[in-house]
Parts: sequence; C-alpha cells; structure tokens
Amino acid sequence: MKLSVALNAEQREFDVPANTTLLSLLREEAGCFSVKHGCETGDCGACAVIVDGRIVNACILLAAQVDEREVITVEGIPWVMASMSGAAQHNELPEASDVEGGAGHNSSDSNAASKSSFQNPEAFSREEHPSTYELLHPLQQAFVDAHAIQCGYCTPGMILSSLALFAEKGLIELPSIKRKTRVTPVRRKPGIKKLPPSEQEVREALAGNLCRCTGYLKPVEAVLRAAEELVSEG
Amino acid sequence: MPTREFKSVHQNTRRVDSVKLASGKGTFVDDIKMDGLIHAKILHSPHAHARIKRIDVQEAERLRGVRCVLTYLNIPRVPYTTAGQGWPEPSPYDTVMFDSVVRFVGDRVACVAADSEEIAERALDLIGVDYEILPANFDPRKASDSGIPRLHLEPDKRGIHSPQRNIAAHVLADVGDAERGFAEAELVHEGEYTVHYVQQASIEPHITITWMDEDGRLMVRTSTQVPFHVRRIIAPLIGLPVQKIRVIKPRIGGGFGGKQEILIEDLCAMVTVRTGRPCRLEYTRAEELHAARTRHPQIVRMKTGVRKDGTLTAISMDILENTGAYGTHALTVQCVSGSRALSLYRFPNIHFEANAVYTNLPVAGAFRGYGSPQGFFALDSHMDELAEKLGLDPLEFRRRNHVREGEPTPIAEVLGEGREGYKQVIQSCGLDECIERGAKEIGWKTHRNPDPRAWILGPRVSDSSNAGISDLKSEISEKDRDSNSKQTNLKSEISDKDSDAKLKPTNLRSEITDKDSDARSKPSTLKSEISDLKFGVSRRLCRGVGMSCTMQASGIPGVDMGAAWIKMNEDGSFNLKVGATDIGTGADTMFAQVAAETLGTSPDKIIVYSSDTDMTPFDPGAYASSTTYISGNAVKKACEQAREQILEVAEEMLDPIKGTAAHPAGKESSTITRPDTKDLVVHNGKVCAPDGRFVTFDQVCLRSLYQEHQFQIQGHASHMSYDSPPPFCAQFAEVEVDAETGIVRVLRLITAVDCGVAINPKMAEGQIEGAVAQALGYALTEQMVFDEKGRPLNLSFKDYNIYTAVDMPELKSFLVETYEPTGPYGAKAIAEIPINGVAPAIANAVYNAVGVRIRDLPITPEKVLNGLKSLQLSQSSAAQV
Repeated sequence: MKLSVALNAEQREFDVPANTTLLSLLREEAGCFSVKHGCETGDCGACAVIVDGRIVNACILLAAQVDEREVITVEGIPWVMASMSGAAQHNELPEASDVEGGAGHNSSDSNAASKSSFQNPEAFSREEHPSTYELLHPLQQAFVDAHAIQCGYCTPGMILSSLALFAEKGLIELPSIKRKTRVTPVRRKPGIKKLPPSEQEVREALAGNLCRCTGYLKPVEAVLRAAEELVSEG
Repeated sequence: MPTREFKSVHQNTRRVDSVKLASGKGTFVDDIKMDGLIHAKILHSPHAHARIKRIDVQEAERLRGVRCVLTYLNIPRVPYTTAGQGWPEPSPYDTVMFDSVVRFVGDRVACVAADSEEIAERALDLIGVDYEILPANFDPRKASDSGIPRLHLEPDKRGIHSPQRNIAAHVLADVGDAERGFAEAELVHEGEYTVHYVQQASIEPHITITWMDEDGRLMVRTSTQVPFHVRRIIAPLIGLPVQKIRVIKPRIGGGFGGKQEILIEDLCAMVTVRTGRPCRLEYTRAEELHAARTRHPQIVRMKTGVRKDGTLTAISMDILENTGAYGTHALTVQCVSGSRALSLYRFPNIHFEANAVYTNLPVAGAFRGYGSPQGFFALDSHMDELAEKLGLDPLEFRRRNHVREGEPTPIAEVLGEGREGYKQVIQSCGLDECIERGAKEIGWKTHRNPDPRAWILGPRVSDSSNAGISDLKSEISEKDRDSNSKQTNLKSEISDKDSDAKLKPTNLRSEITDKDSDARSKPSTLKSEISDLKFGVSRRLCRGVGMSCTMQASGIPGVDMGAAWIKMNEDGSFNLKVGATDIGTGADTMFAQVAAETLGTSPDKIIVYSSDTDMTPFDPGAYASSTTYISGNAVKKACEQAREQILEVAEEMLDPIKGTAAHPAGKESSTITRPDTKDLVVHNGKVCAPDGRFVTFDQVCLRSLYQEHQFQIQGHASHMSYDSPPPFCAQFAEVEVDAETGIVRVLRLITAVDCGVAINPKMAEGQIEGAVAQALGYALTEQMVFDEKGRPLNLSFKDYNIYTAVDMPELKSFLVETYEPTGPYGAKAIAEIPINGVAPAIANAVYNAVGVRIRDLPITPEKVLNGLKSLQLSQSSAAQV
C-alpha cells in the first residue's frame, strides 16, 4: 500500500505490504538505523520514535498508521536543532573543555575521515574542523558528557523519549513541516518561566526505555543536565 | 594508591564511540544493507524431551521463496560445545547442530532460510514433525535418581563427567582437613541456599549476518563477545577451515555473558555455505527468553565451623548445579562459585564439592559474575547468620575474617577454572576501606534495626518510637507518588484508538510468580489498609540494613592471553588494533587511555579498532573480567615497544650535528649535546630533551617513514598472567518491608569497589550502576518460570521484569582506590564484581528489618509473607506456652 510520511523534515512516499510494521518501514525502507529492534512487543522502547509529537514504539505500530503523519527519529535531530530558535549558534560546536576523549572513531563502519592536514598538528582540533565532529543536540551532548551511553543500543530511544518530554514541558518545540501539528504541545502563557522536568518526571519519561547497561543513573542525569541547559538558554 | 601522576589514565575520558552512538549511527550488526539477503528462522522444540520420529520438510521446501531447510537429516553430526571458551574447552561436547532428540522446550528442530522473515516463518509451520514424547525431569535433585531419563548417553559425546548419572561436571577440592576443622569448632552452622533461573537480557538480541566475499571466504558479522572463539568453533561444524572464515564484531548491544555462547552463528553460516546467499538470523525476544542462555540455578549447602571469638575453623560448600539440557559452562561456573566465595575469608580448612546435572530445562551458560552471585548469595547470607549466632556485628565479623594484602587464597590453587589453578597471593586489597565507606554512607550504626522482631508484638503504627518502624505518613505520601507515577506511565499513545490496545503501559510489571507482588503498583489499596488494622499489628513498614562483601578475579590465570598491535601514523596518531571485544563496556576507550598514557599523547590520537579475526590479533574475548587486566597489559606492552622506537628516532633527530631538530635560539651546535634516549621523555605528542628541545610525533613518524633508516614505528605484544588479582566490593542495602504484604522495597543501595586504579572512573561507576540494576532484578523481580511440562511462561519483557528507570532505588557508588602492581597502571577488573553482593545484602537487610531469613532467590513478597506468618505463629505459640 502507498503511504506518505513526513519523516525527519522530508515528505517521503513508500509502497509497502499492508502488514509492514513502522519499525521495518523505518529501518528497511527509510534506512533509519537509529531505530532499534529489541523485543517486537512494545516493551523495551529501543524502537521508540516520535509520531506527531508523541513517543511511540515503532515495533507495535503498522506503517499504515503513520500515513499522513510526522515521524521524527534520531536521524532527524539536526533538523530539530536547526529549527530551535537561537539554539543553532549555541550548539554549533562543543566547548573545548568537553572534548576529552576521541571522536567517533573505531568500528568497521565509521569513516570519520579527517580533512585536516597532517603537517600542522594543531589543525586537528575539532573546533576548526567541524566535519570531523558531529553536530550534537544539547541532549545528545549531555548523554556523551555524562557517560550515559554504554552499549548505546537503547540510547536513540532514550533520547527521543526525553525530547518528547522536553516538548511536552515546553522546553523545546518539535518542528513540523506541516502548518499545524495534530498534537499541540502544552501551551504556556507568555512570560511564564520554563521549568525543567523533575527527576521523577525524567524517570517516568524513560520508564519505557529498558536499558541493561547503565542502571539509568547517568541517562537520568544527562536528561536533567540538558533540560537545565535548555532552560537557562530561555 | 597511585604512585605517580597520570595524564590519560585515571581520567574521565569521554567514550570513543559515544558520539556516533548518541547520533544513532548505524554501527550494530543489523545496520547494514545487503543485496540478496535471505532470512533464517529456527523451529524450536515444543516438548521438554522428545525423539523426532519423522520430520517432513518437503512442503516447506516447496514454498516459494524458501532457499534452504536444515535439520538433523542433512547436517553432519559433529559434537561440540556452544560455550565460547578457549581451546580445549572445559565444557562437555554434548551438543550437535541438530539432533534427532530434543531436550528442552526451545531446543533446535530445524532452520529455514527464505527470501523474507515472513516466508521463513510460514515455512516453519509447514514442517511436519512427529515427536515421540519422552519422560522429562525438571528437578535437579532427582537428576541422578533411577527412573529419571538420561539426557546424553550417545557414545559420540565427550567430556561428560557421568552420562549414566546425568552429571555434566563434577568438582572436588580440599584445603587442609575440613573434618578436623569442624571438630575444632565451638559452633557449627549449616544452611541451604537456592538461586534461580534468570536471563542476561541484553537489549540487542543475538544477531548474525553472513555472506561470502569475492574470494569465497565466509564473512560472519555477529553480535558476539568472542569473535576468535566463534571462528574456531564454527569451522568444523560448517566444514570450512579457519582460514576461510572471517568474524567481524561491530558495536554490540550488550552481552553480559549471553553472547559468549556460539548460539546462532553456526546456522547462519551454514545457510550461506549451502546457498551462497547472504543470510541474516536474529533471535526474537521470546527466543532470547527461553532458547538462549541463562544463569545456572544452584542449590548450595554450606557448613561452617567457628570459634566463639569469631575465628573460622572450617567450611564445607556443596553445590548442586542445574545446567539445563546442555552442559555449557557447567564445570567452570561452579568452580568459580567455589573459588571466589571460599577465597574471601580465611578458612583454614575447606571442603568443596560440586555437581552440575542435566535437566530438561533451558541451557544455563555464562552470565556476568559467572557463579559468583550464586556462591556469594550463599556465603554472605551464611556469614550473616553466623554472626548473629555468635552475637557479633555482621560487619565486624566479616572484617575480622576477610583476606588481606600479602595473604594467599589457597583454594585458588586447587580450584582453577576447570582444572587446577595457580597460587594466588593478594597484592592489593581495599576491602576494609570499602566496608568503612559503605557503612558510613548507609549509616550502619544508626540505621540498623536493633530489634528485627519488633513488628510482631510491637507498638501500633501510629507509634513511631521504634527504630525499625518508619514514619508512616511520609511513607504513604512517598508510596502514593510512586504509584501515581506508574499509572501515568502510559507512553506510546497516538490518537489511533485501534492501536491503543496494543500499546503497553510501560511499567505495568505483571508478575507471574508472585500473585501478591502487584500490590506495589496498586495505589487504591493503600488508604484502606491504614484503617484496616487487624489485631493491632497491621500495616507496618519496617526498615532494615544489610551488607555483603564479595570478590572476583581479573581474567583466568594461566589461560587468558590477549594481544595488541599499534602502529604510528605521520600525523602523530596511532592505529591500535585489539582482539579484545568492546561489547558496550567501554573497553576501546580504556585502551585508548592506556595507549595514550604509555605513548605520551592524548587518547583522541588513538584510533582503536576492535575486533575482527582478519584485522586484529588474538584475544579470548570479553569475559572473565579479563579485558582491562589482560588485554590492557598487552596494549601497554605494545605501546612501550612503539615508544622505544619513537625515542630512538627522536634521539637521532635531537643530535646536534646529524639531527634535524631546531636549535634553541642563540645556541651554537657545539654547545648542544646529543641526549641519551633514557633522558628523553614523551609528553603531549612530543619527545622532549632535558635541555628543552623537542621533536613532535608527526616529525618523528615522517622521518621514520620517508627519510632515515626507514621503518614503520609499531609495537605488538601479547600478555598472559598467572596472577589474577581480585577486585573487592562491599555492598549495603537499606530496605523497607511491608509486614502486611511481604513487599520489599529497596530504598538505598551503596556499593564500594576496590578495582585498583580505575582507568576511567566514570566508566567504572557506570559498570557498578549497571551491574547493580541487574543484580536488583536477580534479587527481587527476575525469574524464568516454567509450567509442569517445562514450558516457559514469561516470554516478554512485560512478564520478565528487569528494572526500569522508575524502579531504581537511590544508588551510590564509591571507587576505593588501591594500586595493583601487576595491573596496567595499577588497574584491576570492575565489570563483574558489583553484581555479586546485591542479593545477599538485600536478604540480610530483610532479615534485619523483619527477622525473616530468605534463603531462596528471588526475594518475593510471597516468600517474605510466609516467613512473616510463621514467625507470628511461632511467637504466638510461644506466648501461649
């Protein structure tokens, strides 16, 4: 069946069998490998994605259910960032002090090829060569900085759950390529200060993302840290 | 403590893979696209024990899109073990790829590969199997009885201790004379402890993709902890030489021992060999939860002799281990149960015996801790009981008796992993400080319940004078909050009504085993409970504190060998290639830090690649807490070689006449002397001479590659050790037991670990936190449950309850630093040890709260309630007398 899905800022057309799940649509048809398979019963949240502003588990939805809807995966976060007012210049690059470890090297798949010249060792700093470094959302950056990632399999789901929480709390606005979103985020009266979510709210937001590596402590810390940062940005 | 200042190790270096993982980059096994990929699915046995009388695959083969069907009829019978261990494996060769007999619900019957998963699943339904159902046994205590079926009598199986008695593995080890020790004792205490079936439950399931490359070699991209063992073990099964196989490990979504098994690689590879097509095989969660591997259930009998002053005279530990239908890790897991538990305290006389028996239940295997959680649940509960009998503070009792620096652990010498071990002498031990830190944090003196039985005849709830009974009002509001949170946790909701039914309220943790435990998430009952005060001793929330001490090892002494190779690039960066297998542990980051420290550069100059049987040197893999200690030492050695070469080149460059290094301003060549390599230091990517002159790493490498005495600056080294220094750990739990319902809530969990120098303290903390979360599940909520026919009952995360973000208690972790002289930069292992002591600490805390001793994991409300009831009964009958 033919589907039209607004996926990460792009209106995409798909033609898939009617029994295709959203998970296989995203992974196999759309190539969104950030969406993970963990349980196929909607219990683990590894495949969590944002549909019309709400967090859902892609493995228990049919692709047909997102026809004419908007889907955001972690691949779409640069777009979310680009549409964040004022956030773009803030988060272009991490602070030098953030950069303690190596970049995303290692692995058979990664080819973060450096364009730097080896004649000048100083030219290797990421500050001057953003191409060697990822543009990260403050939330992603917080996961990196707080050591909230171990195997990283549940991380995309956790990041999207947190993003949906932030949107719900009015800390960010999820972009839409349509004029209006189906689910309107909580409206706040202008002038009222944004509040970061409480630790309990963060724990609840992450309750649907099972993680077997971290014990949730550092992911919760990362989300709180990012929320704090987004609030202080105004 | 560290004797020197570190630049790169002992730092919270950001993980080398975290940016790509945070961006969701495709780095896992399944994150590739392949043309012509076919999908394999496994037909599992529905019976616990049966003989396949007839198997008809014709209809399945005729289905359009089916490429290959594998059964015992078309696969050579090659006995092996799925335990991904070093050669020769200490596990029995009692498995074949497919057999005409199935031995547990979930055993392999057939495998179908087809153009899509859906077709493969349809084809599985079309396979006709006639089973002759055989009697099955699910009770390890009866495994050797007459009339119980023997599981592995086939003559081609090897290494089984006694097929005639269903005993997969047997161990006997003695130190001194236990009988004499018991005779010398003033008090002899005995106890039996049982631990249950749990599953590793990594969030990424087992998955393998195989294909033939252009040279006709088999490529195996797989989610494994042991790439080199995969290559060696599948070779004879699929009929290819090792030379024709390349195993690639990309990022792995957690393993915890479950991916030490060679679980599916053989099938996927066989499909590719037979069809020439790329093939993908991935377990579903339901398969993970019964047809993968588990932790060995054990029944542990302890008997300890002690003098009244608390001096230990003897211990006897007898383990009956249930290995399930196959004997993977059967021998070595029970060896570890004994060797860890019996090393921690100074027992002068030890008797240890263990038997691993076959039953028709899922196959046990490696799981983080590897026998230690089982052994320490028994030992630490037992020590607590002993302390009480002696009238000693359990903490003080442990402190008097635990092993110390300079002392040997004699059991380790007679009880290695599957064979005799090597003499071990403790060279670093921070256990006293671990105990001190933990005790202080939990408030051992102030929070211990002085009267665990106060709840029985104690004051009414409104009276909060008793230390064991907490202030009810605050508790209720806290509970209410909790319960509300569980209700609001309905996540995945989009406006479609029809999808709602499928969407799971993410935290409804329905319990299969414990009917009454759901009370935890039922807010409505709470208020009525308060008014429902029966016979004056109703709702009581009793708090208690308990602790445990544990140890682990760092690698398997005399067995594990890891290797590393490092080469220098002309920009001063390095490629580090290790066979060691980062499965999400952060090993690659740790290696980058060790390499940077050794070479005098920063970790971001190290490009770590792990692991690939074609591209990296050998390593046994990620198990036995060996990576930091064994492979880390190999990296250090390899980098030391490279550093020597860098210094040699730099020395020449710094020669005032022949050299190319710039002279300091205003100095004549004649006044500058050529430095000796021993005076040169590497620092921050430079080689510095004592007079302040320096050459940079890129200049050194450019010269060595292109100018003088051209050669590749590189180092390669292997490391093996007869030492296996134990990390130590003290864990403290504060619990609240509901005396009415038996529900146990863990309030705080404190862990203090001595892992030597933590190469990366944040990552070490992460290991502790993750292990504790798993251990909480082991202690309280996780259990694989079977019906009377051996069929698994909880095959999803809805029913198999691992801890979620809202379930976690307050957690605190401390790293107590020692310096292990044999470790890389003073390091010992960290990954496994924090999982060992949580269950006994909680059990001991429950005892301290309400006086109920749970000797049988998991600690369910049902068991606690039964204990409470029998205490009440004995109290009231005592009162009548």
